Amino acid sequence: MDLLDYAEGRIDAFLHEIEKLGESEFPYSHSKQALDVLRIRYREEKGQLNRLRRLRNTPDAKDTIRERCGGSLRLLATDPSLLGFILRSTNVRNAFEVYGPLLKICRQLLGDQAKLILSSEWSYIPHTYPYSTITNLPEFVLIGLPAPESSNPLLLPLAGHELGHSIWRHRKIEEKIRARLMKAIENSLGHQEPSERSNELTTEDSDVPIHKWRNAHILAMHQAQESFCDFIGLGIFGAAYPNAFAYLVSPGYSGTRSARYPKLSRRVSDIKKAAGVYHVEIGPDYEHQFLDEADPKTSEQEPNDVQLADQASAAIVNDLISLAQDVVKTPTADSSSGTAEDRAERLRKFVPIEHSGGLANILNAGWTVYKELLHPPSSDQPDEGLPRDKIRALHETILKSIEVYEIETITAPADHA
Amino acid sequence: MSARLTRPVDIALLASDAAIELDELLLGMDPILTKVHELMRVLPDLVKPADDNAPSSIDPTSALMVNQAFSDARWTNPIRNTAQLAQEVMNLTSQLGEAIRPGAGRSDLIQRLKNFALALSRTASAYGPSFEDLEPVQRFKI
Repeated sequence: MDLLDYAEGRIDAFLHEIEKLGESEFPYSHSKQALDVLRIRYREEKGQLNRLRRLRNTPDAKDTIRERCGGSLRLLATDPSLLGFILRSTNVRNAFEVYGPLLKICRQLLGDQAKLILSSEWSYIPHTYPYSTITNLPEFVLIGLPAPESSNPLLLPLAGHELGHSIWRHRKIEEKIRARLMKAIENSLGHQEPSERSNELTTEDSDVPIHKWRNAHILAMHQAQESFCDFIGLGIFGAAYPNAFAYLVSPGYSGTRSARYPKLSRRVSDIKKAAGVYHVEIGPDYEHQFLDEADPKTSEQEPNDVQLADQASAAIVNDLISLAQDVVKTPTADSSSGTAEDRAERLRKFVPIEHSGGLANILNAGWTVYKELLHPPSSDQPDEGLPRDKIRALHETILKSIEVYEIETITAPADHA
Repeated sequence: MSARLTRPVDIALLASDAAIELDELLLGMDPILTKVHELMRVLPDLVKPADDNAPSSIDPTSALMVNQAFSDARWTNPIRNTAQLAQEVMNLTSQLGEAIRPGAGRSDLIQRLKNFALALSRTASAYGPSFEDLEPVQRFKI
């Protein structure tokens, strides 16, 4: 069977690429470690394929060979993009100043074994490969932020949302809400006659066959995860999170929304609701910056999976706010020696903040000053457009403040670090 | 791997690795049965509710996937609910443990178990994401 030779050829080519990338310069160790893990894993994969060669002439093993070669191909569906991500994480475009403080937050929330790779990506949408979802790199969290904004530290709170996806898995949040989501869907479905078909699997506490609620359940679970991640971003970074969210997302893309995300108006009102619980102040006009998009087109069948998912995920928002609050109770900020106003005052003068107490404090001060630059308090002059030079200087001062914070963390006595 | 192995894409790989070991066993090669033992450990987890008092806290995808594998491998009569499914998984892992015991001489049973492992690999692949959706990336979008 040629398919075994093809499978081995593909793995050889991938290993060759790993070797080439290994010659890059790595600004921090986790990118290099990820490559080392992938190298070991793909050598093992090659070993498995060699093992199949010994079965090659056994007629009864043909199905095994075919199935395992398919598995090998599936690995390659994900992992080349990881190599690209690792390569881009070494690019000098990345704001390497933020790596240490973000890793610190990451480990506070996921444990010391967690490894982080940050990259500026050629996509305007921040994204992540969460903890324990990459078959070959389960301990790694990969977070990509848009390359055109790589020098803009004010968007860093979005990394909090992305980190939320890893926390979702690490804390097994899905298992905690699974039954509640199913019951919410069952309630929306209304009374169902018990199935007469012998091949329809049900749970013991329901007459509704699993295949009838599974799709809505999957969509609702995705929506719940996105909301949870918004609450994590808010919990870690305070008001800087909704500000960064609005910068990136408002007023909303036109077109049809994804059924895997809550409707934008609900997402924004849920963030405001969580802000009330977490004692984070958001401006009264916040939600007016956003417009809803069209719902995904569905069949005439009522209620459809998207509606069921919307209703079910809305029914557990308060639970998600509490679950996220439990996670971010762990303090991610150090003690600081000044007030929020002291920190903002430093940035107004383009002087880096010292003893800031952490990334969230720096970024919130940054947002305060950025908004002042956009709307000078005592200005009655006509709008002269963006004060680009000052914004650039602010970005640089924020990055410098983050660097100062990291130096303070490194040089602090062990019991304060 | 520190996380529980539950993603269909990982189950598919594990099941086909276990099938290799069972094929080697059938050929009298005396393999180390690492993946078979891992499969025996993981299978009950797939059909176990997260909360013992709430049967609907079961992962619906894993339950359907394992049920389909039983059906495709013609292992048992149709299963009606998740309690029966969990019981059938216990029966299977128990038979697997018996069949791989040194000197058990149960090649007929090993062949059936291998067929189940291959069926599980196929159904897990089918219940997993399509090829273009395989990347585990989460995008921040609206």
